[in-house]
Amino acid sequence: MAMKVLIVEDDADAAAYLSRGLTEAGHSADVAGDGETGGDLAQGNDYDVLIVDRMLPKKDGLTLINELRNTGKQVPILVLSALSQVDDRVKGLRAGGDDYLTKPYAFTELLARVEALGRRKQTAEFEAVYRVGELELDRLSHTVTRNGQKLLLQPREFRLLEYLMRHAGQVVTRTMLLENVWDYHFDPQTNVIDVHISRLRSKIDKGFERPLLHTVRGAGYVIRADAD
Amino acid sequence: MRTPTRLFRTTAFKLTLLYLGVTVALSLGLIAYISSTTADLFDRQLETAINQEMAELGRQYQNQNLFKVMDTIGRRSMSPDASVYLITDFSGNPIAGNVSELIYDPADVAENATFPVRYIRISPGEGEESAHRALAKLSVLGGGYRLLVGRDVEDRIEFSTIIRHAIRAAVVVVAALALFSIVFLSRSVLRKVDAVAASSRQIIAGDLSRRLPADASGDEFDRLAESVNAMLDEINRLHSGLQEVSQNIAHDLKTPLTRVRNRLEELTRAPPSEGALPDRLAPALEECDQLIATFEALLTIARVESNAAAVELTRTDLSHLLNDMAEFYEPAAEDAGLELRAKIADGVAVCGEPTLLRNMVANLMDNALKYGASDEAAVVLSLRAEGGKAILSVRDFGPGVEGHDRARLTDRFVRMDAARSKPGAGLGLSMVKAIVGHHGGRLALRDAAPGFLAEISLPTVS
Repeated sequence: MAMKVLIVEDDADAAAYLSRGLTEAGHSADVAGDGETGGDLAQGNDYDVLIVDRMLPKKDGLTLINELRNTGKQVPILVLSALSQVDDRVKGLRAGGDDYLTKPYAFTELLARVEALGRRKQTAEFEAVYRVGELELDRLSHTVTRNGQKLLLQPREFRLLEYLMRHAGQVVTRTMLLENVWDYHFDPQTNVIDVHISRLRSKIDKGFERPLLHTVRGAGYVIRADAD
Repeated sequence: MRTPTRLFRTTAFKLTLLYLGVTVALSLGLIAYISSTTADLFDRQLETAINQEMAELGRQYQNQNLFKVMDTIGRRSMSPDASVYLITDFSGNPIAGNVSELIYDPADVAENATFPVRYIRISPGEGEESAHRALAKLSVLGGGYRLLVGRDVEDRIEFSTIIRHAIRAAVVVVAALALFSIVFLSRSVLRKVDAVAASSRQIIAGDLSRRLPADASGDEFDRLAESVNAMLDEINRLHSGLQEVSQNIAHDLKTPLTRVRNRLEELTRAPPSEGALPDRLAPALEECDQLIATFEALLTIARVESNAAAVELTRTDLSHLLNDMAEFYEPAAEDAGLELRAKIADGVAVCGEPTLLRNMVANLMDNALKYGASDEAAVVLSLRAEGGKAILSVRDFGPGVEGHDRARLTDRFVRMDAARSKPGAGLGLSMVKAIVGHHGGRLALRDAAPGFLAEISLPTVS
């Protein structure tokens, strides 16, 4: 599903790198070099996602986001910053950003987040049941079935699966899982997330012919029905 | 040349001058008030005395005759402090009195009021006397006779002259004393300020170990110096922390950077076939990620240690936080072949920042999972409240760390030999120490015999 992305970033190299990467991933990208141009473009076009650097010439990133939100723009925004997590993240989100990524970042991480944000528009914060192949997750009754066979999940495993299924078909990174499933904002040095995933996998895929939960090397995980 | 102008500009100089001015003005005002009221009182007393005497003499003249009055005057004149008397007839010729000469300005003469006169008394035997000053009053006795009664004011004038001289002398003495104390005070203040300024200049020049002089006198300069010195201690601590970090960065980040550079350079020298490129690049990328993580950790430590992070500490349910963390780490522990035993007391709360606290626990858990392999095959995460403290501990049953090495564990980039084969930058326990410090707690690293025990105590809140 191709998306239209606006990159507001004053570092031309970084912007070109992002634009190239997004285009290769099948999306289209516009670039604005400063806050004012970014604001004009965002107002005049219908983008699926905005990527906004925090420090911009003419108008800084947070001001830009604030103004867009004040004029009723609902477009999902990913805030980029060279400032660090600890104190800055909250400010970025408070200003109206939807997600926050610190520089330097891995492109796979950025792409995964952009796609997750873009998807949010169409899907299904409000759908009661998520389906991936024969796997069904009922958000109201908190039950998970595959082929009609009930699977017993721990509460956290349920939330993990819920997040993966909400973003079915999209790569979800470890950091995204850590932030969105656990609301943790630190970087564990051990393979904690991988172990959680493998436990979940053993519950939903074990004994079934077709695996649904896949590991994407160097990026993260994806849940999808098709076999490719 | 400079000292006098500097003296004048000191606060001590200005204050003393102001104080002196106010004191002098107040004293002069007080003296002026007192002397003017005393003079008034004196004048009134004098007038009363003259009036009384005049009335008495007037009565005698009415009741008896002029001779009676002359007799009385004659008698009274014997006394050394007698009034001045003069009776003249209708043509102005003196007919009785105790003055040989009376001089006054006719313009001053007024009915029913005193006026100044000068006179020379007829003194028996004493010969010539100089003219004395007096205040006098004139009344008409009838039959053309006029009676003048006056009182000598020479004493009073002399008295006020003495007072005036005394005031003048006092002003001179006070001014001299004031000048002396101004100079003395200003100089001693200047000396102290100069000492402070000299120390400050040395500190500015980079000698952060210098301290302002304090002489334990407990005066305001001492108190100021103490506060500034305490501030300098803190700055010095932060500064050396910063220095340490920059040295660490120089030493320990250059090595992995060199490795990355070497790999990349190798690729440009001998480019691999296109298909092999990603595999050849992967290690360099991994190295970069590790570098980024190290940077992030260093920055976090520095920020937490410098207190600069606008980290809001709020009431945090530590029991809840640890239960979550235990659940989070349990699968990873099992994967590492360890049983995670959580012994977490309920309802223990501290004042803290949840993300930092989780970071702290995560570092300890990561260590325990990495280095805690043992026959016991367990890691213990425990929390209990004890005398206003929350005691949080992570213990493994692994080989532990030798006593002399334990003290170095919290230094940055310190890695034990056993750790060299495992991933990590040697920042975990530095981070833990910084976070514990930021929360006003204590970190103890112990030999649990067997195993390694990290124990953190944090002040609890209700």
